Amino acid sequence: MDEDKVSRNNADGNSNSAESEAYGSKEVLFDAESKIKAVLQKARISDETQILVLSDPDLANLSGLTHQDVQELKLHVAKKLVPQVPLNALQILKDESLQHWRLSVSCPMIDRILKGGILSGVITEISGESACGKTQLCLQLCLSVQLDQKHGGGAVYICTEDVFPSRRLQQLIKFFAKNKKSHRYGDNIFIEHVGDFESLDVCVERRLPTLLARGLVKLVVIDSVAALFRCHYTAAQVMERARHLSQFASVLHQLAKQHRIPVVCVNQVSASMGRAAGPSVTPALGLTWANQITCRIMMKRLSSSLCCEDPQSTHQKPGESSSSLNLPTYRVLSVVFAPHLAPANLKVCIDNTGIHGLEDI
Amino acid sequence: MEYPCEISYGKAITTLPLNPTGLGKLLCAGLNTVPCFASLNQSILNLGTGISVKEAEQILKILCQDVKLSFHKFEQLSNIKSAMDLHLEEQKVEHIVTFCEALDSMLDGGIPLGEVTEFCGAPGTGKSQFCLQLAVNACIPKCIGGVEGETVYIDTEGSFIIDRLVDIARSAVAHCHQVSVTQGRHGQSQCDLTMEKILESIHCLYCNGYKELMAIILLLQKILSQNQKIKLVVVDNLASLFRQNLNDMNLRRLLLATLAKTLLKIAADFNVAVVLTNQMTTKIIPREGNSHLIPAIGDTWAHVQTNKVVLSVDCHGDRSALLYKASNKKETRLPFEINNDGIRDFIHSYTQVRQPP
Repeated sequence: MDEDKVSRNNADGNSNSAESEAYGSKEVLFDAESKIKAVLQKARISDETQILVLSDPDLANLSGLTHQDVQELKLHVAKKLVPQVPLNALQILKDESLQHWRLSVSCPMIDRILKGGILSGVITEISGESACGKTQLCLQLCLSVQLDQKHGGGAVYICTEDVFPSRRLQQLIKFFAKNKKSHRYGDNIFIEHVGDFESLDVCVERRLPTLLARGLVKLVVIDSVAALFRCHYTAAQVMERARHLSQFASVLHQLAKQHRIPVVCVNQVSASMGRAAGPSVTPALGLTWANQITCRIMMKRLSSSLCCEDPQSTHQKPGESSSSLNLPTYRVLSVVFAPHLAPANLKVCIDNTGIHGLEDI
Repeated sequence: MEYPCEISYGKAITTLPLNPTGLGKLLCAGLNTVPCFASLNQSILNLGTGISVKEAEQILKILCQDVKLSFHKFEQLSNIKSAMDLHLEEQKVEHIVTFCEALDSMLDGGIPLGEVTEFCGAPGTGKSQFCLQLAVNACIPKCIGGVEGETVYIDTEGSFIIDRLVDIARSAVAHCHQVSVTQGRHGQSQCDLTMEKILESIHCLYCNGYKELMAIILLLQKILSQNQKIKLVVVDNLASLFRQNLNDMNLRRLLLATLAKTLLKIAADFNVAVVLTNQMTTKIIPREGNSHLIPAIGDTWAHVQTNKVVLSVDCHGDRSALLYKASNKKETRLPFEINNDGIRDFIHSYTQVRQPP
């Protein structure tokens, strides 16, 4: 036994391949590649990584290898699948390309409570009742992503609820044009209307990856996720809906991660009954969907009584005087959860130049 | 002649290097296994079998050697421990503190090394925060009661946000220096913990999909055997991988069982704490028609972890942790808080929230 160990150690010392350096592993003592091929042929599977999910006894039966060799074989496949070497946090901190970037909302107040903006690489949900400003925020994101010099680019806007508010977009573009004059904002927003699941799946699973692969698009907005999923399934089909939702979310997750872009999903709310205290509405689609998202932002219209009290205290920003004719309705933007943010509430108003933060609540 | 014959009981003497004539005589006399010789000496052997005294002496010497050898092997192979040994060992188990004192005392001093601990909770209840806090706290130096180790952090859904880690690490450094000053004799800080040190001690791996996780877990043994300083392995979030794109329930069960076995083995072999996070799912009770939340990914998985903590947030935003499963502690619920510094004890009059500079 001891002799065996010694010979292995020697093999260790001699191995120089980059692969074994990564994990400092002992050299594969047998011809792994040909074994893998034999196993794949016998098991009638085409995917090498499938070996990882086969149980040890199954694999031993298929390949006729000993238990130890089976382990060696699995390690070999594992190394091929995960060539990355663990990075330490300091390296990540120093290298910006490894971090998440933030998409600014083009409003310093909102950016402050979001610590820089919408996180890339994950799914962010914006939920709220109808007419609370979800779409406004999304439109603003579509424009503001084009202002970002470093990470920015175009945007994809997938509508499922109603027609794309292009007039509102043009209005916003007029304001944004002050920042970057010659830029043609409208040309960089790709709009897709989706009315049913078939076209949604085609859009998200086939067209979107192709578009993203070209590297021009840096933001994906889906407005809204709830519309299709809520009306398509009956109460009895909860399981099916859950499966479909998590599959849909995993595709989005992959895209966000792979292309390092923020994905924003708009969600509706449903009334939560039976609770004495707490919020009267909760985001729709339940726990299944909530488990899939990383950040949740909620918007709410303040009740009209509050609006009547407040107009006197409105503090207007310079250059906003044109908007004084139509008194803004106040809304609240709140961070419900996010791994890097503390729960916060911000009073916001929407005028023809976009959405602006006013004060913390 | 005294030797622990019970060890090589039943071993046939034909397997020993004896000369054939002697062997024949011994077998004729009915002495065919080693224990038969237990109470014999050379003169009795001489009388009983007709072997010369000298030869008998040699035979007994060979037997004796064989018994000693097997006794040695026996000692090597089995590390049989008494309950007392285990009890003493248990008291030596190191823990990684959470910085929430109430939770630490609930878990007998923190997250134990050598065991698997799971944090479950609905989204936004603080699972990832616990993972980040523990990754930082694993680095606390021994002089102030830490384990002074490193961490392997396996991130599956992009919730490892470096800024948040930096926030938590900064507060932890300040906290440790403060503790060290109050402990030290000369009012000087003895601990040399720095932000760089903490960040350098956390090794991150990103993982997409369950196959990659299986691969990483296989490779983990290599990583751990190379770097003895690693004291914590975090998988955040384990459940999401197995709940996406994996509709074959049998396969899921098999994979989870394999994973569980490997993780438990890793925890015990390398004396590291394994911390996992899990999602919650709704269980509907058909007859009553109502539902309640339970940890996800099934009952098979529920058997695995040694400790399970369920996190929750009530409608006022107050957080609480429930010790759901632990072999030697009773089920308790206690409040905790997450602020800019990380996980902390819940204090009712807590108003001041420190902003990071």
